[in-house]
Amino acid sequence: MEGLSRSFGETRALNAATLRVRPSEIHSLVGENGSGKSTLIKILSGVLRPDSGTLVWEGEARQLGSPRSAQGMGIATVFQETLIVPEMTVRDNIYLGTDGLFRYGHRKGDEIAGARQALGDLGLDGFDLDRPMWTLSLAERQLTTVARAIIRPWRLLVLDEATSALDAQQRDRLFDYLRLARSQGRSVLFTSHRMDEVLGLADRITVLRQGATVATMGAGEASRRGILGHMSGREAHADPAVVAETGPRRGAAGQQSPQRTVLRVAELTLRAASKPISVEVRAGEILGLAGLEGQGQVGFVECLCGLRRPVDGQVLALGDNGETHIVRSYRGANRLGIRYVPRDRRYEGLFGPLSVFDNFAITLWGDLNWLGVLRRQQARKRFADFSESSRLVSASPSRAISILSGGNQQKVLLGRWIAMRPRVLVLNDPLRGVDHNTKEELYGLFRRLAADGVAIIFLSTEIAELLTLTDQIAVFHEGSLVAMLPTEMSSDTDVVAAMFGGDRHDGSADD
Amino acid sequence: MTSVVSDRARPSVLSAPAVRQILRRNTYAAVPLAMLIVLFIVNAVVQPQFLAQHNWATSMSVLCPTVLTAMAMTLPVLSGNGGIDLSVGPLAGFMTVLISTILVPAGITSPVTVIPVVIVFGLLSGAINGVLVAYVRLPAIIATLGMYLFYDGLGTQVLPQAGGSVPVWLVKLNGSVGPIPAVWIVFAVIALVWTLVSRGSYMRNLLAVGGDERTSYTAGVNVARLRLVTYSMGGLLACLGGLMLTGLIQGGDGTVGPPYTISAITAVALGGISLAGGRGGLLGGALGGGVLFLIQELLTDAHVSVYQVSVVDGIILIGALALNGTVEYLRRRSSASKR
Amino acid sequence: MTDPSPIAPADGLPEPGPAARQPARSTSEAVTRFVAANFTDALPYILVPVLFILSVIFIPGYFSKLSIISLLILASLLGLASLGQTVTIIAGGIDLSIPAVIGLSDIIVTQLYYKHWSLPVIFLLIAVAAIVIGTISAVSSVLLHVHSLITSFGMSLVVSGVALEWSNGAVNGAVPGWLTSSVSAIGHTGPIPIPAIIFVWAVASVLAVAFLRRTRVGRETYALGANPVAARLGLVRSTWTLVVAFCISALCAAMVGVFFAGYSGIPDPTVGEPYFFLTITAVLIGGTSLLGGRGGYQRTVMGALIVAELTTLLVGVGFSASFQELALGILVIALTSTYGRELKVAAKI
Repeated sequence: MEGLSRSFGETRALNAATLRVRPSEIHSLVGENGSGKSTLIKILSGVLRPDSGTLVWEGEARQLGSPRSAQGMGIATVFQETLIVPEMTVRDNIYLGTDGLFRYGHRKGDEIAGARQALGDLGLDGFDLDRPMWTLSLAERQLTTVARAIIRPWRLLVLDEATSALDAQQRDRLFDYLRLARSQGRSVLFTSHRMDEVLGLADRITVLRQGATVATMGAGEASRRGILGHMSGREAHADPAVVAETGPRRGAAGQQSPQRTVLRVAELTLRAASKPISVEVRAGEILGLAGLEGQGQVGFVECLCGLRRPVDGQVLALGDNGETHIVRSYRGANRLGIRYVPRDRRYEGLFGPLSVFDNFAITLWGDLNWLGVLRRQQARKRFADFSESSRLVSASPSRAISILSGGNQQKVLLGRWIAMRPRVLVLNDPLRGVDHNTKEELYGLFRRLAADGVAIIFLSTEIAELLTLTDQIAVFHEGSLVAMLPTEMSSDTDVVAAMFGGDRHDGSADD
Repeated sequence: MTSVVSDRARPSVLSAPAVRQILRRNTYAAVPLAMLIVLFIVNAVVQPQFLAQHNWATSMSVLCPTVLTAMAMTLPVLSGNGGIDLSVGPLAGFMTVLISTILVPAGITSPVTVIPVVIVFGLLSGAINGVLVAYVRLPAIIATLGMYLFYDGLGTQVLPQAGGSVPVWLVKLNGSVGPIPAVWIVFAVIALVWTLVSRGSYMRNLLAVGGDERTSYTAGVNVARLRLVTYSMGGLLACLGGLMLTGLIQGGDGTVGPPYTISAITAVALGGISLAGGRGGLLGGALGGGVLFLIQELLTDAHVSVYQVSVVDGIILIGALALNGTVEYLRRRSSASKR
Repeated sequence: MTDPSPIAPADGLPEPGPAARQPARSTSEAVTRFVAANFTDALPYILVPVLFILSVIFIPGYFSKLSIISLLILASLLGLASLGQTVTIIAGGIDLSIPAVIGLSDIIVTQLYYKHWSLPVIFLLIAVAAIVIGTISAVSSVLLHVHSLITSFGMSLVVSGVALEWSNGAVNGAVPGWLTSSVSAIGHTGPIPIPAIIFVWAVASVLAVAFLRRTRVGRETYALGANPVAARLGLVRSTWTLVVAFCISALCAAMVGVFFAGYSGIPDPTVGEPYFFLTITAVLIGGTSLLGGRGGYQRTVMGALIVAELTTLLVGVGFSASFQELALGILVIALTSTYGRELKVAAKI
């Protein structure tokens, strides 16, 4: 693809971006949110058409009118969002789109064999193909979408954040498959926010910034620092991993006189077979939650904020005078000062058609009203305060929230809860898909909140992030808490080892 | 599964997986089928003449337009994204006007000419809906609402009350051929055609688009074209219903159409079909129409006043949808993936 | 995760925020951009005077106090009936029971006044009935996890059955004189030679716009329609908000039924039937989207005026009711094609 440009109305998503992928190559595309990655991928997969520029495929200039034509050419795409039809079976989901309007593309026997093969390649052996998709876990669904891509004869496989739901084992299996495909002469283009994946897997790397290609390099010349520098356009000084090694750790700075407990988890049992969990969270403490996908940390978070009833045990909020209240419901938890920021902002957080201000203030109206009429002045003040402390960049609060970048949207959603003066702030992977600079600003915000006495529970899928930000890391495995690691004294490998359920050092740690 | 020991494949073994697949695809129809059977028995008990032959043929011919319009509504609903076709009623009503006041006076009376005209008109009007929904991308409820108003206005403009003449064969089609109501022949033909269609990939594509259109699109399904075809087939079924309706009322009438839209929605809900799309099938629409008809029969037998029928209809509708909705909700709840 | 809803869930939000936003290169480009972005928004506001001018041109004697007031009465009735519909649509639902409630209210007023019940009691009874009906539509929608289109539709069958049963055979009815005057083109409100219904509509409009913009329930209505999942998590009182929306709708419909009774004076349970689709049409033509979470009552006011003007224009030019309906159908499609189009599937990814 050369000199590709694509605009969205007034905004230019891609500005003469260029990408070259060679045969037998695994190529990584990196860039922050808003850099144009998704747009480039959508063009490549046939979903969008560029305003200008050319796509050259195997020596010929081509036009892609639809996903179907891209597939016809041999470009298979796995999108960032796990796209499945929940009601249909695994086999139907894999072979979807391979038919004509009325005629099947493959015979039933071939479909079954092909699906088995594809899933087997990805590590899902002996899978029941007639299960409806909604019974599958998120990781299994994601792998099914990969299977859908690979059953067609492909020359270029495009993976957009396709590992986001996979645990380390599944990811490695996928990478093995990719390397095998490479040795067969096929090519892969993938995007990832995880630097270790990029450095570990790619042969060549292209960096996008603000819609333009700013660098292309071979894996040999690439370094973490260098890539981050290109992505942000300035010296990467706050690379999480770098800070984790040399920067100030939470423990050192945050160590004051022991604070009182604000949240107590008493003998909480998440699943029938898991061990009871007991944890005490103090004011001003940042507790991290880690674990492979589906190991219970999300269920734990939901119990904390009242969205889920545990099988056994209780969550208790402790008041200023020592009185205890049991968390029984979502609203009850909120009344106790426990605020929850959900993971999926598109489905669980954003009010798309509404303005930035409306999105921010929706939780405040319960308090800021006089006989039902809104106290807008006060709400506006809180918005201004929050904008300042989080360095929110927004043209005007009355504009639609859809024009903000992903990072800024996330800030608004965080602000919704922070402006309610939480005692305990429960965050479910809040910085997923957020660009680097915004992450830094928000780390600062979280630290300030903790310094003010807010207890923060921070679930994250990025270990480096947990190592930078938290006082302790609670690691989950099979629905139980298997380790409580003091952040100051732990490393990447310690966390990963715990995630696998014990003290095994099986060397499959990240980078 | 099946062992390939002998070359002489036993037919029963071969057909078993196929039968199982049909059963699995149609599990949604279990509840409406059960309701149909129960209501049938109740009706027969309350009103013994229900099963008498001449009544039977009449009942069937009254039932026919209801079922056909219900089936016409089913396909757009299945296609998802708020799919619906409000115009089925007035379209059927307009058919009566078209046949009795335009075709017959123009000398077009034989089945060989009338039926193709009806088919073509049905496909075209359905296609208009399809283009508006799939390509102009109007919300289906608005596009078909517009067409509803169009056909209702046109029909009542041309024929504000009953009138016109109808070909004899059409009236005969609402009678009996020997002991069998002729209407069953119509149903049999449609069932045959549909079986052929559903053996292909159309249903899989339709349910996928209705289930999640973004997934279908990125997987390579031509979503717009599928919807266009779907609405066209819906229009065809509605016009066939209009054809039978013409024979039933033995003439034309621009005002008879609208109630069929309402009954079609009720029938779809009663038929176990998800209103959000992606779940159900044509059989459900037919069964729902049958259930609705039997309910109305029962109410007439019980000498319930016309107005009370309306009340009961409303309660039944809510009840049917409650059942439909709770079943879906429970299934969704149990599907929350492991955390 | 999708709702079991026949009307598309409002999550068709394109992934936002490409980095660079190009500033306009000149004032003329800025103006063009502004007009293009806002044209479809402004269309309903433009159509109202345009249609009026067309009517004046094509209908002799149109520019008279009497015909303008008749137009405003028509618009007021439709506007009031559509008030509640606007709120329910913004909340992500739709109310199909409006015509039935109009009919029931008409019956109650004419019958009970004829039997010499006192007016305050009659109005109280009507209000209570409306609140019950609205609450059932809303609550059953939440409890049964079924879209309010269906539950309100079911309620409409029940209510119209009741109304028909009640009025069965009744031909006598009576209404107070001032009520008749309030909807008559030659009616007066005190010394002012304008029928009361127009004032009622004006006041109701102001209250409706204020309600939607400035009250907690109003904002929560938008949130509920925009994203019901996020609304629940955002501490929006979902059930209460929907109940309020449907009660407002039923109360407005009841009010219109009372006015209709003033119009004709005889019990007619079917008087609301044309409003089955007209209220939705007024809301849509005004530019409020069926998707929920957007729009506002000021738009429906325009929509009601447009529908009233169109009806008057078509009648004035000599078109029959049937032809009007036909024309309305085409118009709904044409207008929505300009500003009501949904996103391409590709754009939703």
